[in-house]
Amino acid sequence: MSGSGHNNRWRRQAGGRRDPRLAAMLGYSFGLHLLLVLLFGGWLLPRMQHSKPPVYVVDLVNLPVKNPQAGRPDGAPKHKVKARPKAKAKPVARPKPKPKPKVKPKVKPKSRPKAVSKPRPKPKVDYRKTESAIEKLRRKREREELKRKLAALEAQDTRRAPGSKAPLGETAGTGSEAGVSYRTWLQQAYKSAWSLSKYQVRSLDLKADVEVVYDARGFLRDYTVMKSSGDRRFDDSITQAIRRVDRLEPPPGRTIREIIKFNLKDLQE
Amino acid sequence: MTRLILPLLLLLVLVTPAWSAIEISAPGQQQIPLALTVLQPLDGGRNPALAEEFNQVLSWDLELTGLFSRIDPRAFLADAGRLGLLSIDVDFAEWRLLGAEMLIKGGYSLRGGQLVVEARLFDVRARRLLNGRRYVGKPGDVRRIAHAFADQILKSLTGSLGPFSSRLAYISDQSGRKELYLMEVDGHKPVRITNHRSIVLNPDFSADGRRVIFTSYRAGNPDLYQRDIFSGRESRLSARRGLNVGGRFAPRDDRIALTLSKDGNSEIYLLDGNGGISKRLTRYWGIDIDPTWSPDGDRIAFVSNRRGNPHIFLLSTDGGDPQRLTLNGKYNVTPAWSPKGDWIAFSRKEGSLFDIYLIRPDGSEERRLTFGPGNKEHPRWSPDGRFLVYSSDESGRKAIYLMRADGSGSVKVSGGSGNCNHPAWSPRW
Repeated sequence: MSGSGHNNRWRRQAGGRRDPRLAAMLGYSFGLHLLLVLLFGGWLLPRMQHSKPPVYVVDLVNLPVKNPQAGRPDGAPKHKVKARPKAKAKPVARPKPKPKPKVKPKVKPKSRPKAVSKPRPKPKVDYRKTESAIEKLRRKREREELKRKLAALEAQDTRRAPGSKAPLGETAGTGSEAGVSYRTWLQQAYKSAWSLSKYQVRSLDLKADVEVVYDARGFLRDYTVMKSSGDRRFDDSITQAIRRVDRLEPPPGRTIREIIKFNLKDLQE
Repeated sequence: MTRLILPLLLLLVLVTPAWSAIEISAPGQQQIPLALTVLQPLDGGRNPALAEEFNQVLSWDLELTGLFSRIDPRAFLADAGRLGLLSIDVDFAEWRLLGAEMLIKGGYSLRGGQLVVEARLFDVRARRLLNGRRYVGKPGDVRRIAHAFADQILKSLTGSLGPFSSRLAYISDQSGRKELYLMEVDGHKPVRITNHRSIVLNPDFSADGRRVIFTSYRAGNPDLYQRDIFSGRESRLSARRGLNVGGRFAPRDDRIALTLSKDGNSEIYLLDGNGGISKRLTRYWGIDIDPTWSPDGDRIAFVSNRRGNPHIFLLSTDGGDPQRLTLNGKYNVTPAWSPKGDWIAFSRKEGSLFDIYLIRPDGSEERRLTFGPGNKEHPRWSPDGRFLVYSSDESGRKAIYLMRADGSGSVKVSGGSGNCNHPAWSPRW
């Protein structure tokens, strides 16, 4: 009762009729609120596909690792290497949308050379078809050229982690098992295998050079003390270290012949 | 010019293979594989407990050095059960098979309350005796004998004796009052040597290790006392008005550097052996405390707030202006000069915690030794400069810890109830 009396009083004060703009304002307000609900509810926007960022696992201890890409989602066995050049060719692009358009041209070239080869024997073909065939041929050649360049890059194996100067297969986390630097691996292996206390030798100026030979399967084939230190204990310790590193893993696939220089520089104060 | 270029190019070509060599500039494993056998009876009378105690003490000492990697005794072969005091009696091939490079063997006999221990250190690779000692004592001396042989082992390998035959002095409140205690380096046999029923602080040993000075509030004022460890005789060396604290014996004589505040401000003074003032070293309105001697006795490091915050300064005992040593941090205290003179250890407050640092006497190569929770304070050196003793509350209560001079191998040595702090390492006994 009192509510309707209050409304009547208000109408009277307002001149006895409603303001026509009020309805429009209410309409706008409703419309905007609805829009907000739709926007935040996600009905108007296309579904965002959040691609998970790649997780890089990097060996923070400065040791060369046997398989540095083990923890890397895109670090894959060798057969996946083909996919990488695409990312390299278009470094700006996000990975998802671009590989798809590239897949299609891969299929086409097989049929297109036929299409190009067929029109040629027929002299009566109109120019538009000939031009399109030439264009396709040109594209195919460009694609092949690009593939050849990427293969050359792949063969060079000079990829590096972003912002890193570390060579392939090292602590920056890039590279595959085949990319591990055997020299670094050997250095670390010999250091770990070498056991000698500075209190067991007469001098810290001792040094010795040893040539080691590993076959393609990674087995120690031979070692020669090229320059002895003159200290029997020192020499014994390094030959023991060499015998401990009697196998390289993974097999290098080629004969490895290295000269190892042993000394005690880091123990000198 | 072209004559020069060709030989240079030739030289480059010759040198290039040398660059391609792989260099290993230090061994990855620098511990000596050591086999420590159990003492065998010399004359048939067995006492396994005694042999075991000797083994435990020696083992703890050698572990602290960080120089050895122990061969697992379960892998020992027949020779471990044989006496073998002479190198011709030892089957070195057997030990080499186990990878041992050093071998400790020995025997004991216990007759009529007399203990005889024969201990040997062999070089397995060279098949020769490195050190052999015969110790005679009482059955209760087995720990001392083991410590003494550990010192000898270090001497054989490094050229300088170990510190295991020394003692640690420290302050503990386990009796309800802060009193002075002595214990072995591994924390065994703690003995209370004061009964002041007051507050005792800051002990330090004389150069001969027979006397200890400390500050005590026994008479209501922080006075400096001296106590003869063996006779128990005690005297008050300095009872001047105000502070008589932080007394440190000179490394070669009976002079004592300490802080006195008799004139209202704390300054560093030198006392003679009878407690008389021989020299005033500092003269500044700021606080000057915590003196420590250089091993040659020519200089003193101390703490002063003359530049605002507490920092470490160096001063010649002949006089002159102090030179500031520490430039980093805002609170550097309790310096301790190493026996070799090459480092000064001190504690620095970072945030709310103290940690132990080292710095060269020329101010270079500052390095932090301790990390982790709790305060680490009051560092003092072992007489050979290989180890540091300090107090820490990282396990809740304040306790005494040892570590190597590179900050590794820290181990708690004080036990029992109560807080322990203010350690001091005696010279060799």
